Amino acid sequence: MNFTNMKNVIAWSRKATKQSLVVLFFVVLLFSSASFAAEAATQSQKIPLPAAIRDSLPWFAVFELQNDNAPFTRNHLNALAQKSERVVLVYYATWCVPCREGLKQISANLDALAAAKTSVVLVNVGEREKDMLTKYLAKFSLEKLPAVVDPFGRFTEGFGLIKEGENIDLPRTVVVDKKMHPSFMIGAEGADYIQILKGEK
Amino acid sequence: MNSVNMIGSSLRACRRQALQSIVAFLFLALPALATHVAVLETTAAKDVITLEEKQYLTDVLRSEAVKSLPAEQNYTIMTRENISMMLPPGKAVEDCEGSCLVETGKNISADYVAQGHVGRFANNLTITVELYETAGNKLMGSFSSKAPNIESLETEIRQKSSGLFSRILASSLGKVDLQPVLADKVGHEAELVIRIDGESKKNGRKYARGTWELSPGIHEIEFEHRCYESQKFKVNVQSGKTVTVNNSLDATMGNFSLTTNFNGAFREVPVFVNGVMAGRTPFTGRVPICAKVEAGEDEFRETVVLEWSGKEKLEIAHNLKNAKPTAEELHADSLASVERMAEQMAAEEAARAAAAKEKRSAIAKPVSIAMMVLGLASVGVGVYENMVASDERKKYDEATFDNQKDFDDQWDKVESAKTMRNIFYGIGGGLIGAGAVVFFVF
Repeated sequence: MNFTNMKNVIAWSRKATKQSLVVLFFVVLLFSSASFAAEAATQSQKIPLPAAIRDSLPWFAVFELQNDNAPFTRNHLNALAQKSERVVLVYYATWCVPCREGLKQISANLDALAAAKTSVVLVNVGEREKDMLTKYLAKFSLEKLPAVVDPFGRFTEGFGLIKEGENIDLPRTVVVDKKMHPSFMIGAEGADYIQILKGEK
Repeated sequence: MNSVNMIGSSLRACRRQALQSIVAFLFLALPALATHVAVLETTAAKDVITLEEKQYLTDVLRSEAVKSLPAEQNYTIMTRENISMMLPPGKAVEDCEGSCLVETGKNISADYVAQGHVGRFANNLTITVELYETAGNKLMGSFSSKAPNIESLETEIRQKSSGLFSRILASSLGKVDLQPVLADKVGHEAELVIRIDGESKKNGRKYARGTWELSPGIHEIEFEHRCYESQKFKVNVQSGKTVTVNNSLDATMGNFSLTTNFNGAFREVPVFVNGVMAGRTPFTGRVPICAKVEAGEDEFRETVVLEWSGKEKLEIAHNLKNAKPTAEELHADSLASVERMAEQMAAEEAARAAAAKEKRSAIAKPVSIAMMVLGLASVGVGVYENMVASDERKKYDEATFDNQKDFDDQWDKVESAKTMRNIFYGIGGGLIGAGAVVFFVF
């Protein structure tokens, strides 16, 4: 085999390797996307609690979505917690696309959550269009769950989730135990989200 | 963390863009949450007024707020119970002012918070009421007043607080910019009727194209015009924002048929709708009821008057005042014009002849009269010569002549007179005759 032939073989090998890598990259990307599109990640993302709510929740007072003359305060949450094993505060906004995954899971497991004595409170972040929010929750069949609106950031800034003027990352779920002690916080919901909310994990 | 989680996390993470979400949905019913206004308990310096008096003045302020901020416009004046329920436990508002009041407002989810403080100035009671917007952390307004006693202070509060609370209304108004498009540009702008929430006027001013202030919330807008299909829809007006409404109105159409006649017979002509050729007669089609319809060729185009009177179908037989001549008419016209030209020439000829005749007559008459006069004069001269001839004959007959020559001379005289007589008779007769001829002939 002369020198020219060897050069040709090497050049061909390089080209074939490059092409293979490109194909492999796209295959990986395809499977990654498919995984993402098809179902949630396996694990929910647990996030450390901010210092302001590590021991207890501060006072808050907001209004209910369904009846905007009905206050929902810490006392109301406490009353709900007394009747449950835990209360989960699920933060959402209509503009938050990833939030929909968690809402769908909750909607599909309402009975299981009730059986596990997990009460859910939906907390809307910063929106004020009542009908839009009601219709949005109805899309997920969640219109019967307790829902509150938080135009002044009592549940976000007040809980230390963000500093004044900062933007909040969504989704967020804060799990509060029977004694109103925040247990932990979840970011992105995974396949085990409902198990966590039921206290099985 | 594996690549799947990284991709999932980055795609899932969602950042909130702003503290106030800007969501504007036109034409959807999207009422906002109620605007909550909290009137906190009135505070007072020590021993100025009693607790019951403070609570009463607070109630007066709340009642004025209820009057100024209508529930129909989605305002809720928080009750004492709700405020108590929502205030942080142990929180005293007595020493709270300025930003503390704003923070209190946020803590109880109130969009606006007001509080009065009673003091003493000399022998008078004073009151200062402040109103804050919590979201914007700003003082909306305030008023101060003094009175000799609490009853007069109540009167002052009632008189001045409505102006204070009305600032909420004014600040929260949104605007709607009405710019309907009359697509076909037919009909008059003045015929456009605009209604907002069923009313065609506001404060005596008729709604028209332009910008109008409205309270936040859903409003029903209606556009009506006899030439266009009416439109009714809802808009969501947001505080401090302007919603532009620039719907295009569709022209109201009607079924229309047109035939055109000229001089009692059907005449096919082009039909124009709003200046654009739409076909030829006999024409059938759908046209805007306010369209300008014309029929005819070129400079002979004329307007066809349409009177729909609420009908959906209109049939018109239009008599053209003028029409472009056809080929046959042109040919017939040209023959006629030749004949006319011939007639005209003959007439001109006759006129010229008559004029010439007139001219000749104008000359001939005096000439003939002159001739006859001369003729008469000649005849007169002839008569004279005749008399001379007679005298000379008489002399010839009666005279005795001494010689033949005198005899011949006298006879010559007679003959000469006779000759002259004959000549003048002849001339006179000729002149008279010629004059008569000239008179009668010319």
